[in-house]
Amino acid sequence: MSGWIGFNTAVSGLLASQKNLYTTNHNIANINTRGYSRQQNTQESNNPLNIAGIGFLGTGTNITAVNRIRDSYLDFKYWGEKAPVGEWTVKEDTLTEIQHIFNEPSESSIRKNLDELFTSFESLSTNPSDDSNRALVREKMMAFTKYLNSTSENLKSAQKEVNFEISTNIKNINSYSERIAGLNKEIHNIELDGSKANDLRDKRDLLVDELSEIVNINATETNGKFNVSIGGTILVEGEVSNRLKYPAPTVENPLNKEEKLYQLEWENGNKLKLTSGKLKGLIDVRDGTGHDSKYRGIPFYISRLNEFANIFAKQMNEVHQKGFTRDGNSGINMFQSDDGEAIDASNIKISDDIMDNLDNIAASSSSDPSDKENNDIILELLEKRNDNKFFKDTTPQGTPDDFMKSVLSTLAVDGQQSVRMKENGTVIVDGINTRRQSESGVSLDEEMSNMVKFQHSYNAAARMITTIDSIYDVTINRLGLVGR
Amino acid sequence: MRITNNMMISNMMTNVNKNLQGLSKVQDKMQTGKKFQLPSDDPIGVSKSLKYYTDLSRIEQYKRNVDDATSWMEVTESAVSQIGDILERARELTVQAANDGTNTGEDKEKVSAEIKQLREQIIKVANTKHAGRAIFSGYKTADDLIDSDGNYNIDLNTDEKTKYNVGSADTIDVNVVGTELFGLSNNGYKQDVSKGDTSEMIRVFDKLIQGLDSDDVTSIDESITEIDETVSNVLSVRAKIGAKTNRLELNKNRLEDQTLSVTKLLSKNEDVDIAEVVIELKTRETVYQASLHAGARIIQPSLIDFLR
Repeated sequence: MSGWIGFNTAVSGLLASQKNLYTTNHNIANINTRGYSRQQNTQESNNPLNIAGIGFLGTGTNITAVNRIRDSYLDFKYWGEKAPVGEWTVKEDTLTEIQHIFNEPSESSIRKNLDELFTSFESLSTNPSDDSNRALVREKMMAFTKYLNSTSENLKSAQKEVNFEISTNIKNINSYSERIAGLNKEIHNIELDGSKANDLRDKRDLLVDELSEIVNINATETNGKFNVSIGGTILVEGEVSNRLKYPAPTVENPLNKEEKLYQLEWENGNKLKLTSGKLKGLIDVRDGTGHDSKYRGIPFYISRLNEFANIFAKQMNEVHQKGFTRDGNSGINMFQSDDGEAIDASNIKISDDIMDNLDNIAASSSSDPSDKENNDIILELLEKRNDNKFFKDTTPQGTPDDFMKSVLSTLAVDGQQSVRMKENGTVIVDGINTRRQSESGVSLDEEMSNMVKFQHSYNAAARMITTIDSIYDVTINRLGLVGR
Repeated sequence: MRITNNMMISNMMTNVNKNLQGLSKVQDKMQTGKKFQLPSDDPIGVSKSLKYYTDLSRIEQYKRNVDDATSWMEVTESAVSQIGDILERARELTVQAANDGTNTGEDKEKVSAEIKQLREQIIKVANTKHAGRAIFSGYKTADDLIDSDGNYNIDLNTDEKTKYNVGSADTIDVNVVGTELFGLSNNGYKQDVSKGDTSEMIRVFDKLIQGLDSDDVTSIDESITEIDETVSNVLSVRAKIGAKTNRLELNKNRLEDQTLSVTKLLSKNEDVDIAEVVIELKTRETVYQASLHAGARIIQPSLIDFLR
């Protein structure tokens, strides 16, 4: 038995306390680091010495590992629940924007424009020979068509922004894929000797946290490496990362020729399958026509608005064409398109005939120009507003007011649903996050009490060295004078 | 459960944020006075509001139409009443002239001269304009009804009635078509006329004038009956106008009532109860401040504060 055994034991305590203090220090330093999970040292006593006839004599302590405190079950739950929140956040934002575009209820909405258009017809009906009433009708027609034009324009630009965001997210996914694969490699290299790459693992988990909001992912760990897949297709496998095609291929946008739509495609040409996540939300609101159980996104509202403009113009033109102008002409349109294509919300405008000459508002059912007070056609136009077969081959059907009201309530109800879904999802994610924080978060009080504890154990170990020192002082320096 | 500092801070942030959001919603309500800002706040409420606004705008327009119709009818009524006065005076003069014993030839000349004046007056009234529109000319309001010879100046059909909307699915004919009042010579008051046809009323006057000028007593006597027939037609036209004016008045009252009730409904549907909102605002303010206070206490003390 070496005489230095006590000394070594004391030193091991000193070193262990020091390492514990360093870990405490690291925890405190990282209290605000995103994705950081607290670390804890595993401390074990050293192998004891077997002293014959006495038993085992302890030889001190050793730090055997530095561990990350983290519950991977909570991580998997979090990644699963984060995607729906991403999806519904996007939907809520977009539907709110669409509601602002329709601007209902307000003094600058389709309802208001429609009300004023028909009110101007009423005024004209009481005095069809008066130019000022005709000018009023033209003014209100102008406001009405311009409203449709700008609403259509705004919806298209909302769609354009969503489209841009999709391409940004494709780029992001590729970057996440590369970074996760890179970390897989680094972690693997560090952990070859059995130790844990705690901080790198935190970083990797954080990347997966962020990715899980964008797309629905599935992550599994084998041999310390993450395999991440999206909809069954592998994004990261070990050190190999897959990519989505970027710049993304595009297809024509049937509702806006000027803005091509980015497609989601793996580099090998396969389609990307999404079930939830921000990207799915973006795709839904960008492409959702409302047909074939698709989501009611921006195209749904553009199409409804186009349908409204088209049928409104058609029905009004039909009546107006029967009427006679002040010069006794008939067959005049009220509305036309400004590009020769079929009338929709973006190209609807007042017919050139009426624009050029107020006399061309055909109020009269009589071809005789002297029948100035004949207001039959105006009355018929006014009646059209109550015609519940005005929209008959469309969904919704009914009068122009019914049609727009129904579109707006769809928007309102969908908006309400998106708010609810997002809130529900957020509650779930917050709950999981709280549990993760509870498990992995750094508690300052805890660290401070540990610090005091480790400081004291360090002091005590140091005191032990002093004690042993004084033992040797006695035996070496103060006993006898042999050899001196 | 193990509680960590960041957990408490993020919980606090979530809660403070939630309270602030609630506060901001109530403040929106206060500032706009409306229960909802976006359709998604209350889909049913918003769609109700849309209907009420449209109803209101229609009712307002119907009211304007009723006013227009009323003023048109007032002008018509006053014109018809003038015609009535003219006919009365004409009848008086004719009866006087018919009393052959007391009238000298000179008297009859005077009567004839006045009757001629009255005839002119009738033509003038027949061409009465309201805001530049000839009221008896059917659809041809730019043209005079009767020319200076007492003949129709235009082709006029009895169905040239101008209809105004004075309520939902409620229209009213506002104009009296000239032939209803002035008639077609020897053919009554329900005939279409062509340009150049003579008016019945003028024919009666012409016959009377001729009778007076030629001192034809039988003819003058006949004229009295004919004038009476004309008067009775004028009275019936007047009665119709009166009935319509009455209806318009009732309509106006009903529209006023509707404005009131729809405005009430609209207000009930989307206006906030200020007392309620103020209380809600105060409550939310208190909750928000409490959460801030609690937050301040949660964040500060830790073991560090007690280790010296």
